[in-house]
Amino acid sequence: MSLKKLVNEIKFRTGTAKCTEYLELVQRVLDGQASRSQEVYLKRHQKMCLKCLERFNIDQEIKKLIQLKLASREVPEGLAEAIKTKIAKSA
Amino acid sequence: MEESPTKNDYTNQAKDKIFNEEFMPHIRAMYNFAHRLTYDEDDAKDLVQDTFMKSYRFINSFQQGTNAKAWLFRIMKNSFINDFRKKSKQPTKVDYQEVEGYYNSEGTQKAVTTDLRIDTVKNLIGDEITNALAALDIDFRTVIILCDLEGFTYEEMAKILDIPIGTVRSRLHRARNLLKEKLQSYAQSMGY
Repeated sequence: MSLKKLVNEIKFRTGTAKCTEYLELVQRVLDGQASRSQEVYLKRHQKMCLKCLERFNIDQEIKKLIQLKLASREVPEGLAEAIKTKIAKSA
Repeated sequence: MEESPTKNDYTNQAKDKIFNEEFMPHIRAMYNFAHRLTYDEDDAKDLVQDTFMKSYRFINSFQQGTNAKAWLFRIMKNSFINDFRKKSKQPTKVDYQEVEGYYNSEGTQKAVTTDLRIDTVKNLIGDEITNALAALDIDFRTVIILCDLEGFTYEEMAKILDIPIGTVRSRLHRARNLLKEKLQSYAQSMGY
């Protein structure tokens, strides 16, 4: 662990980190890539900081929006077959 | 990542099996990624075809049982950059010295302060989010697609994009801030 990471870890553990320092945890938690302790640190901070909680909720909502509202296109008809034919010819 | 330092020597039968069972099931995700890179149906089809042809040609570099989807996405990203980006109407590359320094510099590591509110975000429709994403530079758009739509981990993204994991996180952070700014301006223009 680098010195910077170690210092941050201590700040998170003791609850002395600044709001801006929680940004990385916000992103990790949002993306499901935080450790259990990182989730705990962020939740603890959000209980005391409504601004950070609201920011997290907005980011989470935008992520959901991207997942729900961006239409997934159907694969054009014949594309898979065209690929397989081309592969067969090249083999 | 999914490339083995020692090349495999698959039989033709094994190659076909890998191709049909491990590669082809990802065709829909591949087509959607291609379309979100090129915003053109013909270019997207060409890019998918090109990627699958390359995947077959280099199949001996693929380790069976590893993450085929990440491997294919990496090929597609490289193909797009090398062959398709030139004819794409997308903006040119961003200045990464400026961008990558963004996250780590003390003064700029702050959340974007928009007036976006939860109820405003919930009111946004598909077209607005599509346009906001399309308006982002290709490199920022890509990290959002890979993370939010395709569910890749930071580590997988680092391998797909050939960048350090710290850069993945900072680029994603920056991309999301830019997206929020665009959504904010849409919301304002719609009078939310």
